[in-house]
This record gives sequence, C-alpha cells and structure tokens, in this order.
Amino acid sequence: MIEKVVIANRGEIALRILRACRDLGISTVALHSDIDGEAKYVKLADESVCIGPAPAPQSYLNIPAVIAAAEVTNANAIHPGYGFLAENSDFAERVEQSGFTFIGPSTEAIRTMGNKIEAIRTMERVGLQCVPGSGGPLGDDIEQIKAQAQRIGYPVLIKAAAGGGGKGLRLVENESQLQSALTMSVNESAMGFGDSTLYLEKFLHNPRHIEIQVLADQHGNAVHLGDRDCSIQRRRQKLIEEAPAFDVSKKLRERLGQQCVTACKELAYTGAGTFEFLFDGSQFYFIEMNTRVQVEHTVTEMVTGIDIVKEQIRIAGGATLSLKQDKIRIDGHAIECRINAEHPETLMPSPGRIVRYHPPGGPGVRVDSHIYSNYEITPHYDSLIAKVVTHGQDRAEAISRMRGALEELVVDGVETTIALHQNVLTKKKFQRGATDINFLERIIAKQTSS
Amino acid sequence: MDLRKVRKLIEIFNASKLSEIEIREGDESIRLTRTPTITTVPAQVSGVDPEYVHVSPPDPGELQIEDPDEADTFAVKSPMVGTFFTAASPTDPPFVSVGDSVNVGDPLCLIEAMKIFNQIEAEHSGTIVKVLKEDHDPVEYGEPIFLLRE
Repeated sequence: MIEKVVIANRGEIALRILRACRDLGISTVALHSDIDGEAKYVKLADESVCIGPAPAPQSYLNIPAVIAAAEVTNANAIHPGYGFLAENSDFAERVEQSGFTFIGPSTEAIRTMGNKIEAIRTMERVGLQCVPGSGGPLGDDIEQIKAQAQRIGYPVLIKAAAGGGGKGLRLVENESQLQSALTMSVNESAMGFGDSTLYLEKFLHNPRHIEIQVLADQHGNAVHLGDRDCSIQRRRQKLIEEAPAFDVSKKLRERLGQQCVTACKELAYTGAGTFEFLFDGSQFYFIEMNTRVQVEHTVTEMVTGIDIVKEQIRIAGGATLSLKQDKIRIDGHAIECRINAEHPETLMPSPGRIVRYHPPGGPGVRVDSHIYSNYEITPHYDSLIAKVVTHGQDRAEAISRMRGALEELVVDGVETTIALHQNVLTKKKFQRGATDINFLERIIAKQTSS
Repeated sequence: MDLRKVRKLIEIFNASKLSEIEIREGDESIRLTRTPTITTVPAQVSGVDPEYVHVSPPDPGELQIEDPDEADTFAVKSPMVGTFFTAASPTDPPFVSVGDSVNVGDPLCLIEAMKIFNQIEAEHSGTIVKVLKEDHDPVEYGEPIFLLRE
C-alpha cells in the first residue's frame, strides 16, 4: 500500500504527479534543488526536501540524495517522472534495495529496453517488425560492416546501442562516408555513454512517428490505450502530439496495439510504457521503448478518459489493472502543444522571469503547467513551461480549439514557442494530417531562408 | 528556538486579529506585539536565550529576527540531505558542544544518507555558538546546522 510518494522531479510533471497523488489520497514529498525551493508547486506538496544545489547532477540526478530524502520523510514510494532518473536502471535498483517502491517497471525491463540492440532483439522475438538493420552490434572488420550496409541498402544510420539524444547517430549516404562516420560515432558514443557499441539501421526518408501507450500490472494483465502521432519534431524533440494518429485504420491500430500487449506480457513489463514506431504509410517499424510516463501522455488521457499517472501509482502499489481492453474507447481527438521558453525560430532557450501569465480555458482545454506570473525560468533545466492540450469531437475541432487556446494564452517576459505552434496550425498540410517527421524542419528552413 | 517555528508563529500571528501573543516553551519564550511603528520588542526573558522580534505592520511578511547572542555568527550549512547525528555513536560524546573552539577540518557531526555516515568537518575555524539540530533530526541540503563565531 503506497501512502507517501516522493516526487523525484520538477516542473510540470512534478505537479502532474502531485495531482494524481492528491486524487488517490496519498501524501506527497516534493524534492527540489535550492533554486526551485520557492516554486509554488513545491509548496503544494505535503512536505518538501531540498536535495542539493541547482545543477542537476548534484540534485535531481543525485541518487543518494533522492533516496536519503525518502528515508528522512518515511515515504514508501518514489515517482521518477520523465527525464532525470526515470530510465536509470541503477537508480530503480537502488530504490528497491533501499526498501522503497519504484513507480515504474522492473530494473531488468528498464535495463533491457535501455540497450537499443537488446530492445530490438526482444521485439523481434515477440514478432514486432523492426527497421531493417545489422540486427546486432557491429564488429571491428570494416569490410564486414561495408557488406552489412550494402545488404541493408544506403542511406543507413549508425546508431549507438546505449543511445539517446542523437549522440553517436550518423547518417551515411554512401560507402565512401562509412569509415569516417564510424570513427566519429565510436568516439561520441564512448564519451556520451561509456559504451561504444554501434549498430546499423536503414534510413527511412519521410516516415511518421507513431507510438502505442501501454499499461501492465504485476499480475500478468496488460492493455494498450491506442496510439499517438508525434511527427511534429525538431532535432528529435517532439513539439506537437496528437491522439489518435490520423489516417491509421482501426484494424491496423488494434493489431499493433495487441502486438505491444503481447510484448509486455513476454517481458513481464509493469507500469506505463510506450512503444515507438516509424510508419512509412503501410508498415510500422519498432524503434524503441520508453519505460516511463511520457510528456505527451495527456493526449491519450483526453481521448480515453484514463488517468495514466494514477494507474502507474496503483500498479506500483500492487493493484490489479481494472481496465479491460474491450472497454477502452477512443473518444474524439486530442492535440498537445509543448510551450517551451525558446525563441520561436531559432529555438534557442530563453530563461528569465515571466512577468505575466494567463492560461487559456473553455470547453475541451487543459493546461498542465507549473508557471505563474513572476516565475523565474532558470537556465539549469529544460525549457518546457506549459503543455496546452485540447480535445474535440474530431481533429478539426481539436485544432480549432488549440488555435483559440494559443490566442488566449499569454506568457510575457520570455521568448516562447507559441508563435511557432500557431504557424504550424495554420498550415494546410498539417490540417490535412499525416505529416512526416521532417515537416517542421522544412517549415523552419523556409522561415530562416526567407 | 527553531527559526522555522518562529516564522510559522509570525504567520499565524499576522493572520490573526491579536495585538499581542506570548509563547513559552521550556526556558525559552517569545512575545510578538503589533505596533504601528518599527520597534524592537524584547521577548519576556525567563531563560538564557532571549529572542528579539521586529514587527513592522506595513509589510508583515518581511520580519527580521535578531538575537544579540547570534550577532557576528555564521552558519554551517548541511552539504547534503540526510539524518543528523551529534556523535560518532550513541555511546560516544558529541563531536562538539556550545563553547567549543573548532579548527578547519575538525569533525562537527555526522549526516547519514543511504546508510552511509558522512562526517561533516569545519570549513572555517570558530567557536560553537549554537547547535541548531538534535540527534536524528532530518536535515535538508543547505539547511543551517551550527552557528559559529570567528
């Protein structure tokens, strides 16, 4: 039975977890760095503990400090949110070893999915199609690698097994670029992850990014909550997400969802998770799994009416999943715009003080945000300041509500991505739907060249 | 008296319609008085540790707390979150007591985090004026744990 949860995160997701705990009648302990101590969401928690100075490695990424905070407050569970320690299997292991419940999957599941080659092998075993590639780590023999690339067909991507954030990632157009790209990837990967294992994957030209949300309990039950389209990205950072994915047939979605459910059972996966795919219009290719709650979980909540964070906490407390697959309905359409404190064109971070904040409202509008007038955005953490989510009976209504919401939204004092979102929403191509992952980059390239 | 308690007390006082409040706890006592001008109100002292509270009605959120015994002191702040211990073990004497002089590097206390006892050492020399925490108290990062005077 979970009675007191330590929220090992900050910003909007810390507030999101706090709200879920409040609904469940669970006490909360907000952890914060010294610079976040005065934030209003911290004050909303039943207790708060300062765990270190502003730089994340000494506070939000400081495993002993997080666990010590759980000890001194007599909490019994830790929610890692997303980012920071959320997908750190060593953290999950130490949380459990210290006698606390980690609100997330098992250490083994995080570890398996954290290694991209392991993840791909596991998914292939359960019958999910992966992007054609080397199917395993690359050796030292350049001739052998050349043969593998030839077999896959250029262009190919070199990826790091421990990958993430684009480190170690290289696009190779032809064989003459292979050798130097490999050298750079080995170095980047070794520096970034302390592991230089690489693999090859076929480069897909203009795919869409579609993902499946799952929930699984500790008793072998698993369900999927449908799909999300997260193709509006910049430098692999998602900016706009929606559910359900447009123009994917119900039959196709259902089949993919069922495969993910099977994969969960095979993995003995528990908690919330997301299977990410590239979609070329006819085929889904598995790319990776996120073993945590995602930023964009909100759009799925809006169309299913299911509170994913509450389910995570219930599952971690040992409860049996009360959801039945045939009872899960996708109702209407939802869109999320991530409002970042960044310049709308250059996307350079814009820390500073918010002098005026006015959130939008009205039917079908949800705002998840930790900011307020006079809130100081520090340069220490990521630039997400608000998630504006709209829901409509169909995609057109969701878009229309989003355009209204962004017009109502006021964030003065710092640069924000509001104008960029507004720009995307007016594009005919976006309104038609099914844009690919390079769509936003093309818009921005056009903006900067004109 | 714990500064946080005093601050909490002031909050309660400000929210109330009372013009004066006095609280005793052991040999310490504190009295808050609402006056129209900025004045120093000496606490009704019955112990060794008088506390003075400025009460300024125009901006009741910004109250200053002064203690003549704490003038020219500096705080040793906890470098980590954990549990505070004054001594190496329950049977050992405390590392330091009020009145002791300490030199740079002298052990002051232990802070336990994740079953590891971390010895906290003096970074500046001085005399211990006050031990702000008791055995087994939880401490946060950056929280004052000792007051020293140079």
